[in-house]
Amino acid sequence: MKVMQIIDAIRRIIKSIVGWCVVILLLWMICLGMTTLLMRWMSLQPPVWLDLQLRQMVLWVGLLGGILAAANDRHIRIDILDHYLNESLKNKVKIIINSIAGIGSLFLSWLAVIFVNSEKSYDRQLEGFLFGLTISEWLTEMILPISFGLMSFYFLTAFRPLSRTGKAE
Amino acid sequence: MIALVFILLAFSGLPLFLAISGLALAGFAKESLQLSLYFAEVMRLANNPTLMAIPLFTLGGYLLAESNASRRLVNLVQVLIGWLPGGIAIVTLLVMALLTAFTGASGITIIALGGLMLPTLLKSGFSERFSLGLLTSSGSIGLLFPPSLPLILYGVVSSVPIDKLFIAGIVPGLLFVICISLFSYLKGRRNALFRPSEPAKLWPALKGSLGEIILPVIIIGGIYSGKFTVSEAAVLTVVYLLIVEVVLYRDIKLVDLPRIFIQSSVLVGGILVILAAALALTNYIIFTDIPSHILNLIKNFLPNRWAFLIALNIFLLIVGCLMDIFSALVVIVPLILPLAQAYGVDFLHLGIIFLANLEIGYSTPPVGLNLFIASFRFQKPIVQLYRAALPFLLIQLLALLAITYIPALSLASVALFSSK
Repeated sequence: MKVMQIIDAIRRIIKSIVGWCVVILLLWMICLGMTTLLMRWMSLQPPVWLDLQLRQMVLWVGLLGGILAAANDRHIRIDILDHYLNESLKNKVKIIINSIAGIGSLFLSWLAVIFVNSEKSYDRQLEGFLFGLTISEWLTEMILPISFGLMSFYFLTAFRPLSRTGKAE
Repeated sequence: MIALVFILLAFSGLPLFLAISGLALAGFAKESLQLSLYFAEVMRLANNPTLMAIPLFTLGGYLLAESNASRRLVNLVQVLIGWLPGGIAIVTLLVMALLTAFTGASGITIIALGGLMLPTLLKSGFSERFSLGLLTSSGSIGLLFPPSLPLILYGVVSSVPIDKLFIAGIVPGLLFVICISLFSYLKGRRNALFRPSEPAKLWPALKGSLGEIILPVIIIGGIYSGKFTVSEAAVLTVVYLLIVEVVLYRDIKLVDLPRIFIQSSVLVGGILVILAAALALTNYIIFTDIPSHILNLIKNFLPNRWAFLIALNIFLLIVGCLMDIFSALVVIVPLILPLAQAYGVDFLHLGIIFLANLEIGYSTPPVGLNLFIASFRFQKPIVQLYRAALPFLLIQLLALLAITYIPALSLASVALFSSK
């Protein structure tokens, strides 16, 4: 029982941290986007890092959103069976499907580690990415293994709220 | 065999991005390609300059859905055309179309407006069957109007300019609206459902919703005057809505903003991981030249463009009622594009045909998504909604035939704007 409570607490904490990261990134994205627009209207050339950051941020927001979708059981699915099965059978199918989803995401996370490692060996640079400061591209790609790893965690631990309330969290 | 397993898992409820990823990775393994190449495709997403429009227009849609914009718009359109026979049904249709254009995911409009409009329609004398059918099928009616998310997504996947798609969708979108409005008008006239006109209320209603009604004008006008790109229009939409809904109208409290931001990111996350997986699958499809094989296979059965379009309509209607519009777009479009090219179908026209079909698929029995959402929202048996949606489905199918077989409906407006 205690283990379950700990898992629940970890789920809540990660979800909250990821949620706030998304809010900050979206606000930052709006600020950068507005700055680009205003500079273009004033016939000024926006710095290169602005566009670089904006493009990376879309991916970050998307992948963090993917974690939140896993946490809230809101990933897009073809849930035809859902509409026709009774509640008990529906929950059993859901536990099996979530387990497969968890293992699948974990596999993707492992592939992402291999990908980031190979990118690290090329050591490509993002010139001026951090307000003029150059950084290695693989650092921004770290979001890949982290996000798929966390999605896996949420899929694999989704059985907790299912078993207690009969519905997904 | 592996492909079949993933397809079965997808139909059993496995998140689609994992089912598509599984298909792509199985393909990579079969061709002895490195599996980690999958992530090279994911990173390719970051190179797409218009991708920024997706999270920002989605956020804009959520801000609009959270505000009282729908009530203000209902009020305005009611004063404008509520006096017509069947006017309240047309009001419902127009407001739902406008909101769906911004919220993209059609379920939101049924949930947000259904509770407000169903009692109003019933009180105006419309039958329950007509009202339920109207609300169910109107939930996806605005998908062809800018800045609808599916239009942007088709542009991203097919590399068709999004600004041209925005224009191409307007006339076909209006055709759907006009056809259902005519049906509502005839229903209203037969049942003598009249409301007195109230010209005195026009100015207050117009003033009340001015903030929202000028937004589409700003977006379309800005993009076509060259003042901003589609991505910049998305930024401006969010900033504009934050000012209007949070500062001016105060519909949304500051403390609610983080929740709305997070809610919109959940949808964005769901779409982007599918898009990334579909890019990887597309890579495999192109690598193994699957479209050419399909083309060779179907050439004998579908000798010309018209036969291809008929088959495409049937196929997409089935896809539309089985799959979510976002996943259908990113998975099916790469497969169909080379076939459409071989049959001489313009990619802009193809995009509109795609969305028109998927829009109808949403309310097509037995598994159209809108039917389930409406059944849940109005607490009615799903079979009752099948019957209610049927006349609207037939009308939309007639409009679809016109959109499919008269390419000028989609392309003439683009040519007109391009020549200016």
